[in-house]
Amino acid sequence: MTRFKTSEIADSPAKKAALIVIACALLNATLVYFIVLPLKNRVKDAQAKFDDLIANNENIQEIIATTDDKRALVEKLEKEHQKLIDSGVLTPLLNSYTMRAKTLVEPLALQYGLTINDVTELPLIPMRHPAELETVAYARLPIEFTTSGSYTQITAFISYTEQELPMVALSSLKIIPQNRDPENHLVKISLEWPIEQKVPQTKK
Amino acid sequence: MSRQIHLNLIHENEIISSGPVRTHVIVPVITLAVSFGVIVWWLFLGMNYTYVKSINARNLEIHQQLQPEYKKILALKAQEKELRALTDQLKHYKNGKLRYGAVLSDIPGHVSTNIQFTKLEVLPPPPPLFTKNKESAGPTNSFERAAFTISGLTCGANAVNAVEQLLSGLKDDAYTNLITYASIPVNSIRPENSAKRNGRNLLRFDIFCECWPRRFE
Repeated sequence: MTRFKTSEIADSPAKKAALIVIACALLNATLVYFIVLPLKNRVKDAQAKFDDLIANNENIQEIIATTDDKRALVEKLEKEHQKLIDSGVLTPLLNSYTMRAKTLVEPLALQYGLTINDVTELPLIPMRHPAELETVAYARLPIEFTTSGSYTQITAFISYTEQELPMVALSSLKIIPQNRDPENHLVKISLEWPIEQKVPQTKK
Repeated sequence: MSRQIHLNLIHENEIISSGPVRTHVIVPVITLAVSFGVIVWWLFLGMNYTYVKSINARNLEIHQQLQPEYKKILALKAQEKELRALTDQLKHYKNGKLRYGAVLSDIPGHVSTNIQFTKLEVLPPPPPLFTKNKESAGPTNSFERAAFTISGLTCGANAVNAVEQLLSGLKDDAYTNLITYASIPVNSIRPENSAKRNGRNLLRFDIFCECWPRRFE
């Protein structure tokens, strides 16, 4: 009976080659699947992050380069805004818009012989404002003055007010003649000013 | 006594092959080379990853250094937007101003001696348009209707002519910067009944003057 020596078979070059091939294939598969491919993805992510950071930094640097221009523009806008405020935005006097309006209008009325008998604050009229204004915006505040005088006095006073107070607009007017004194009419004139007001927060 | 047998592992094709390298040598060599390649690939990726990561760290540092300046300019931008919006609001308000003074002063020039005004009214602005869901939005319209009415009494033979004269006076070209059209509403010229009882022949009239709308633009 013929018997084979197993050690001789294992040592054979073909078997060795087969073992090497199998071991290398397993090693390659393990390396590629568990190490190389995940690492490749990480490199890809890092590269994307790198591109983002570079683009972002370049963008930020470009924006920062315009700081001086932007500062100059803001200063110009501040001056323009202040000029408009000075031209007639109504500010409260001792927490009262009515008092401020009276102090502005009364001297003008007196020049035309009109005496202000009563001053009443009417409901505020909001103005359309863009979404950028989240805290403060302007609104229109009509204030009604009651006086009496001739038609000529009244219209001259209105013309003069429109000329002297550029931000004041005639909101409403009622001239009612009185039977007892035909030359002296009862006048309810409401003039409106822009005032600064807090923007009500929108319900969410 | 054990007998040894000789196993001939060289195939026929290997014996007659013209190549000097045998398959059982070349296949493991190629496999090892592939493994080596994979390891080199891994090393290359690892180095690349380390390099990109170090550059990213440096860029991140630069990014952090730029933040204070960037925040400053963002604040300036927000300030610019707010100032522009506030300035625009005031400019729009100023643009929407109507001047009544000159026209009202001029009206008596068109009034005949047999006309007496009983009321002159510049109508108050309509209430603003609000939506229920958006309380803060303010009025959505950028214009507002403006008008005034004149009510009066007239008498005599040429009473109607006097009213017509006043109406045509209000339609004069000189007032087109304020009045868009003036009209006498239907049935608004009517006899004054209380006066008739006293034996007087008085007519009551109303004239409606539509003005240019106030445009807040």
